[in-house]
Amino acid sequence: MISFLAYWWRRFSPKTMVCHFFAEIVRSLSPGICFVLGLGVVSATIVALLPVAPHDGLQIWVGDGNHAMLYRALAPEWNRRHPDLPLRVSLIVGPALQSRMLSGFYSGTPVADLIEVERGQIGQVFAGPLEDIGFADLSDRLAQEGLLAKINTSSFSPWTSRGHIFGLPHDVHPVMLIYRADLVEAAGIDVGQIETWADYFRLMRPLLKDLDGDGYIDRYPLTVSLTNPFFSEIFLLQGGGGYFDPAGHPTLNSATNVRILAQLGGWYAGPDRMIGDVNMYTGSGLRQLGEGYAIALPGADWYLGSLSVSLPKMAGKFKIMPLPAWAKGGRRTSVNGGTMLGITKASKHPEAAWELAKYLYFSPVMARRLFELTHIVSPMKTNWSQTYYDQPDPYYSGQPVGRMCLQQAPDVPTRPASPYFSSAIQLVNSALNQLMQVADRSATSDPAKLEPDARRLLDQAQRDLVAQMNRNVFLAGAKP
Amino acid sequence: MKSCRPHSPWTPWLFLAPFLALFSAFIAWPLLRSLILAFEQTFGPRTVTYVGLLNFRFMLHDPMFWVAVRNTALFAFGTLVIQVPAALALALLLNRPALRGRALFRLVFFSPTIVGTVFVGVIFSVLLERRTGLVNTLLHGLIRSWNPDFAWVDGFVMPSLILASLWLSVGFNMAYLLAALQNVPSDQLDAASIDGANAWHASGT
Repeated sequence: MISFLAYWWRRFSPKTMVCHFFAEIVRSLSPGICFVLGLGVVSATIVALLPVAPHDGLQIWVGDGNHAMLYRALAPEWNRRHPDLPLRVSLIVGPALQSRMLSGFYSGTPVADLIEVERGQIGQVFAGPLEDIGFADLSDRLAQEGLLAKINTSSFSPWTSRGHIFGLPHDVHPVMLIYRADLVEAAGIDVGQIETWADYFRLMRPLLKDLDGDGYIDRYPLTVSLTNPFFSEIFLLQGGGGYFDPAGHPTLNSATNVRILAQLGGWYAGPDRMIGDVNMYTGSGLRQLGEGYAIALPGADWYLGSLSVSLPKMAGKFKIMPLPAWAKGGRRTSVNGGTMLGITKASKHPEAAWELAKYLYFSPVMARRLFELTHIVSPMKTNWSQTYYDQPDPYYSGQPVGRMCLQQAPDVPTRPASPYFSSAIQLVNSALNQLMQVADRSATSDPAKLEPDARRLLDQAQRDLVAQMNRNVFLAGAKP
Repeated sequence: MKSCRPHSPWTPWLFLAPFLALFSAFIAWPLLRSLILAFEQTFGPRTVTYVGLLNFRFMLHDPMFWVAVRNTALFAFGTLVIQVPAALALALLLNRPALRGRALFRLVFFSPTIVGTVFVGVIFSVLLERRTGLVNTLLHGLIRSWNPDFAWVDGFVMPSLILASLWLSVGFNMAYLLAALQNVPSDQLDAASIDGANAWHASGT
């Protein structure tokens, strides 16, 4: 090797070598390729010279545009109080946020001091050993400052892994029933008589209609998006079912889940189908809601805000009420969605991050801004007495939607977290879809007749999930 | 002309070095690492545990794996069986000298290739929606007994995917075949015609 380098050193001076090298390259290339290369060099230079976003200060990554807007509005005030630690809010689209967050946690690439995470994104964070979780454990801080008692208890559950709390809860997200008050009242139906789902479907049955006489139903008493597994979760959690026990063991085939799935199968399919299929997050779904394809739909507080923005022409036609219970005296709400704010272990300013996190999520000022912008109610119980929650909402026919949501907030079910949550809801939804096919094939909507199939399908889902969980050598595994 | 004989045994390696460096960094090492990874479980690169054949055992017993294998095979078969003949048919049609507006047809058939997979996904999901989808609306308008709530995503997922893939890629394959057809010398086609070959026989030449 030394002789080789010595030879080249003697043969050519470095300057001559470089000149010859580039001259040869340019001579051998066509003008077109030279142009493209030139373009590449120029654009690379421009990109390299662009100003780099500052990485100083207190950084927070959020995935929701409304949240980013709220936090950016706070920046001037924060920066006045902390001139050496300015607030930097980055709005990052969900999948990109998750990739960057996990890369940071796994490999030590830079992450923000604070990251806002949605429920569907948190599972992977909890999939490894406890000590490798990239968020700081907030359990002690919460206990020391007495926040555990002040915050709605169930709101902590999705952000708790193996008994440790890794995020401040952003919300409660009680689910209400949003219904077409204009159609229901025109039909002379008194929703005050509704306590259970059985009451609901009995009273609303006259509104199940084939409007154009083509032999197909054009209006259903209730609608959900059948391909969205979070709607099955709403019903399961409301009825006392769910996917995992507090220890994180899967409970897909619990007796409660079997009973509820059999009932859902009968409502979703078969000759006595009562629930329509509308994807209420799409333009066509919203159009169908506006056209009266459905009388009602379940929606959390955040959806109340979203609907009023997405379908403004329907102002004054909707009302909300507590969900009908599965049984008399039962729970009148459920839960859907959720967000947390975690402090990363890599943060160099954990105390400032803690101060900011508490302000963003629990201060009355921010709670008010959040409610007015999105209809989301605060998880901080001391905020629940604020009068802005009592304001009548013209979109929902003058109802005080904030107060109505808060009345259900204490009953919101807990949702034990698991890295396998996404798999669990997909498996249960797949079981439900298969059960609907059974209902259609056997021409029955009777839950008693569907129950054996519901049990069989959920048993299979449980076995599949247990196999997935037992493969993970970092966790304790699942019960067989 | 000067001799091109290398002056040192290291010279070929100097010229091979860029390729070898890139190949090692971006092909060979990731391939080797993937092979090693198959016998490990990780929580990021810093937390790694050797698990032997556990991953393979799980995969072979995982029902979803076999569903994925079956779906991939079905999709590949369905796509090839329909797409290649359809592309050839379009190429043959567009290769006819008497065809007017050939450039326009070529653009129309090729344009779906440009829009990209995501856009095709969005278009077809809107087309096949349950009540408001164009396909159900059209069929219900034409045939009164057609259920406007017909769920294409329930029983017809694979045919729908194959159809979407066909729409996306048939123009691209057509362009290849058309280029090949247009490279056939006209004297060969004339000779085939004199020998009594019809259009089908001529296309096989």
